[in-house]
Amino acid sequence: MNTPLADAAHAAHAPSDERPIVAQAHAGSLDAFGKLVTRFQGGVFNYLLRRLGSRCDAEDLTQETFVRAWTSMATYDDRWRFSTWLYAIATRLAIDHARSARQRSAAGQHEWSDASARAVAKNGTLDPAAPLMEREARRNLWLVAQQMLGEEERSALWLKYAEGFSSDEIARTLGRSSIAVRVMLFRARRLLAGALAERGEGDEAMIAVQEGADVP
Amino acid sequence: MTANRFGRDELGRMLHVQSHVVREALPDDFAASTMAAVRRAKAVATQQNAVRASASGSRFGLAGVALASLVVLASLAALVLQRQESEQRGSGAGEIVAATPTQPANADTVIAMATSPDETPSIRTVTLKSAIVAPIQHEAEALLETGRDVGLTIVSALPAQPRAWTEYLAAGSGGIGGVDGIGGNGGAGVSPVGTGH
Repeated sequence: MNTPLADAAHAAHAPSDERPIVAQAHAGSLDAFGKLVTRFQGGVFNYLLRRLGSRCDAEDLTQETFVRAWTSMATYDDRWRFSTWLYAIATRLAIDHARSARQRSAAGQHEWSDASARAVAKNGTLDPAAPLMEREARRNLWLVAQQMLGEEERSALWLKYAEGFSSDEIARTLGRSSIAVRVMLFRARRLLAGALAERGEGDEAMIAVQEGADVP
Repeated sequence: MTANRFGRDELGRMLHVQSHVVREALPDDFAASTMAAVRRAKAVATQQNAVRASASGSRFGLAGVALASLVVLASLAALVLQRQESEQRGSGAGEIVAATPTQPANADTVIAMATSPDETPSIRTVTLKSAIVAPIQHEAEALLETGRDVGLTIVSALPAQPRAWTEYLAAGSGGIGGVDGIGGNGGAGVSPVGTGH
């Protein structure tokens, strides 16, 4: 549970030039809200892209995030950074989207399996360039994370290292406890460290992930 | 437990640096299209407020009748709005909806017909802060200064308070009867405002 002191600390993290713009948008200014869109659209998009793995879906949900933010502006609690609230909306939309996608996927899975099985039988592999792409992907930890981590772990990792969120802010964004987020981050880093070690860089590339380092 | 030249901070540094590598850019017009979507949401909210105002105004006799009629106008306006916005998105033209920011619960709604330079009529749903006629005209004129349309005729107005609506009718500003479809000549309200028509 967050204390008032902790809340005040989060609010203090908000850039000073952001607060008046947020206040104007909160009062109904579309111009001010437009500035917030311009400021945060890239971050929200990349967060959703990292979470969903689809550019088209990320673009759609980014736009929807801002529409929801505008229509729900009255519920924004200025004790938290605007970005924390915005990313929480994006997270909820991503969860809903993933749920819908799973339902659609389950309906079409049988048909896809037949088609892919035929392609594999004909070519020996689904995509001849797959091994090359896999090697390329492993050069970047985020692409490794895309393959190895779940949606929520990827999200936590991205918010931490790409967006600079604190553990408390990540917890609020994802709707998890702060401890759960720290465990999530620990596990994600451990998996990535293992992946780095497997890249053939031997002991020198071994990442130190001390047991329980992130767990209070 | 392992310990070597890569510490926990080193992994964090790598993740941070590499996050810049995998960041992707949005199309240049993404903010504009997002704000268009936000304005559509605003227009829909305005229409919903008109419906709610109508429901509450039904207890006030003439005002209630007028408000109920305006809901029909609002619905038609929304349909035209959606269609025209869809067409405009395809052609890359400007915005149709112009809404002044205000508190929706206390808002007045003006449904106005505007004529663009190419004589294409469009519907504007304008949310205003005042319930009386003169400020409506003033706001509409201010809107014209910022909008691309050269003519704007208010075909109907929906004050937030039924009492204000009654005063509006008593002032001889016209009623809603005789509206020749949305934005038709001879409609009610204050007209013309600005140039054209």
